[in-house]
Amino acid sequence: MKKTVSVLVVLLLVIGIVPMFAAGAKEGTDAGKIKLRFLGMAQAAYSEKNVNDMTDDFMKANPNITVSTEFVPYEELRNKTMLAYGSNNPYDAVLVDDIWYAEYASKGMLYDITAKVPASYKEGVLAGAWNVTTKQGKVLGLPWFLDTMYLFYNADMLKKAGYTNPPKSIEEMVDMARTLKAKKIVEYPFVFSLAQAEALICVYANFLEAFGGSFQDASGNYILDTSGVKALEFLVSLKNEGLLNPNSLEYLEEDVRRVFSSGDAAFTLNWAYMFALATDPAESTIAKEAVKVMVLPGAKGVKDFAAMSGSMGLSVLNQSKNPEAALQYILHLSSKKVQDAYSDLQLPVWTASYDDPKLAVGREQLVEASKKAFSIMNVRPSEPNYQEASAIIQQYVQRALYGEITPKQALSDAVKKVKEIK
Amino acid sequence: MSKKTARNQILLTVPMIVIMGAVIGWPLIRTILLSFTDAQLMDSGTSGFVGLANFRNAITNEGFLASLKISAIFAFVVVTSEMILGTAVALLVNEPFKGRNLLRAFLILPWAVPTVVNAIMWRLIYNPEYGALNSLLTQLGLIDSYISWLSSANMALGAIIFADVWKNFSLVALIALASLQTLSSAQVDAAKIDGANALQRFGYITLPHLIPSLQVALVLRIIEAVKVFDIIYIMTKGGPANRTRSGSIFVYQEAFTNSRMGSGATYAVIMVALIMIFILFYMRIITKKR
Repeated sequence: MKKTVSVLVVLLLVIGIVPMFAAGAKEGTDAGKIKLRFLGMAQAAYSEKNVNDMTDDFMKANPNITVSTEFVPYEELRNKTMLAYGSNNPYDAVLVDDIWYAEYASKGMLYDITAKVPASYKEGVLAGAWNVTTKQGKVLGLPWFLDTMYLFYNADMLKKAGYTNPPKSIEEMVDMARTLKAKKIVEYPFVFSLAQAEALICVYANFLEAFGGSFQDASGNYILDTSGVKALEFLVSLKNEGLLNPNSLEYLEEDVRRVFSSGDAAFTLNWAYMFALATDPAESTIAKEAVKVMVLPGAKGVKDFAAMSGSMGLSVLNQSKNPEAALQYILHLSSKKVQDAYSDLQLPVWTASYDDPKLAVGREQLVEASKKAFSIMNVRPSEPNYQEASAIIQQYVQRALYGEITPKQALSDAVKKVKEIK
Repeated sequence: MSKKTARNQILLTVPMIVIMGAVIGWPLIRTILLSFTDAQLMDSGTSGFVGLANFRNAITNEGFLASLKISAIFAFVVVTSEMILGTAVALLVNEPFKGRNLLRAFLILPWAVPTVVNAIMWRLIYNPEYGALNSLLTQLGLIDSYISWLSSANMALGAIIFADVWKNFSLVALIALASLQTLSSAQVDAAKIDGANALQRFGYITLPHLIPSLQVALVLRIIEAVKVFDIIYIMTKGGPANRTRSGSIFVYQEAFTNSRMGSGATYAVIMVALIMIFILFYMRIITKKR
């Protein structure tokens, strides 16, 4: 009996304890085969299928490497990357937003590839793109896509209202919107992604740029309480005038795309991926020819156009057990060949790709707009605690949009709170 | 009990103690230890001991206090609604009528739906452009135009509460129904003969019989509701303008978005301490029942 009990206890211990340690068993190489883990974003472009197809091609060319891919929504990407990094099962390669590079770099998470980037990449990729992945002189990733929020407009609606040309300034755009509403062509001419998320900051940042404002001064102090008020007053005025779809306050980019593609908005801001979907009859009810895209015009007398970067890069994490293989993998994903092959939804970062007339077929205006945007694009703050600062600004911008406090008060409070965390 | 049996009993509980110590005890101790430090999410062991500073900051942090208030409102409204609705439904399906068994089977469905699925489902129902709720209310003539339920600073929390009540009232109903099954019909019949009306029968016989079971349901639901995270995170992520940011969402943001594990742990410890009060109530009820 004593023996039976002892055996039972040992058995229970083995059943209970072993799986806990087995979960953290060493991964990496298995009989000479390298196993990599990649964390990407669940999005329209590049889609999960796109990335998995790219990965399959990589594995075919490198039979000794197996890559398993995982995808999460943008809102979870940073947290998942960081939590996995702190665990005993980190990813080897990850997709990184331009606003996260400074934070990851400050925590020593990114593998320095300065000396490992092939010359063809250094020379071939758009010069400005390297700013996204380079921190303090170190190249910490490969640019994967350059993007900004473009202004999309419905040309048919504008035509009905008597406009044949796109707006040349923010003020002209608002006049057009007023006419569209007055003529009952559309109830809410504008729809933006203003949910309490980074998307809200992206929209606000583009208008901040359009009104000549900026997040920080040269010393890195937040100055939105002075330079950012006009942009927020503008958004609040659109809401108060009934020009902005009130549902915008719960919308992210995909919601905005659906509203525009249903013909329920004349103007919106969204990333480049929207163009392909808004002109796809399976995804959109508005005529393909009516979908127009351009760089957001600036405020009259301030600037002609405005663009704020929403670019991303691919990086190898320092804890990868196979950093060279992971680098090989991200070099494949960002190669010109792969980017050209999957350029339907995402424009390549390679200068030479734009020399190929095929790239622009069917989307001449998008390619034209992107060339202009890339040359003027500004960036959101890139600093270790940006994520927290952004969360604070989101909250106060929303409070102003709800009319709880004035834009001036909202941004003063936000800057005060941001100072406390810095 | 022989000495040998007692020893065997202890031996057989060892695996469970070891497992619980590893998966519950150690994380809890680690969280408590972290709460006295200024640890960052990835600080490579550079954090320092800060004593009670995190706790002092926590009890004066407006954001945390606001989020606790949201958790309290959520828990109060959700649990009250579920108790009333659950009891009423249990009384209904306890009566004999055609299709009763089918209705009882359907009753478990909302509770069986995973919280994540429930949250996504209600997000679709509340959608301001094509949501079923707006369509229904418009067709009934109750509203003139579609309402943006989740982006309204005043309605977002109410919309989440409704979705949570829909999912969880059936648990209360099932517990109450199980209790009603043990109620002696002779007692009720005797009261009828004595001339007691339906309200009197409910107040003097049914409710006292139900109370011990409802107490258990009440405490369990309060514990769940106070620590609410998933349904809010999926439906609004704490927005708009932090109007639905519960205590648990605040803890998550502090620890993982703001990367402050030390103070995040402090907020978590305070939340656990608050929940412990209800757990003690629960233990007392269970002990009394025995």
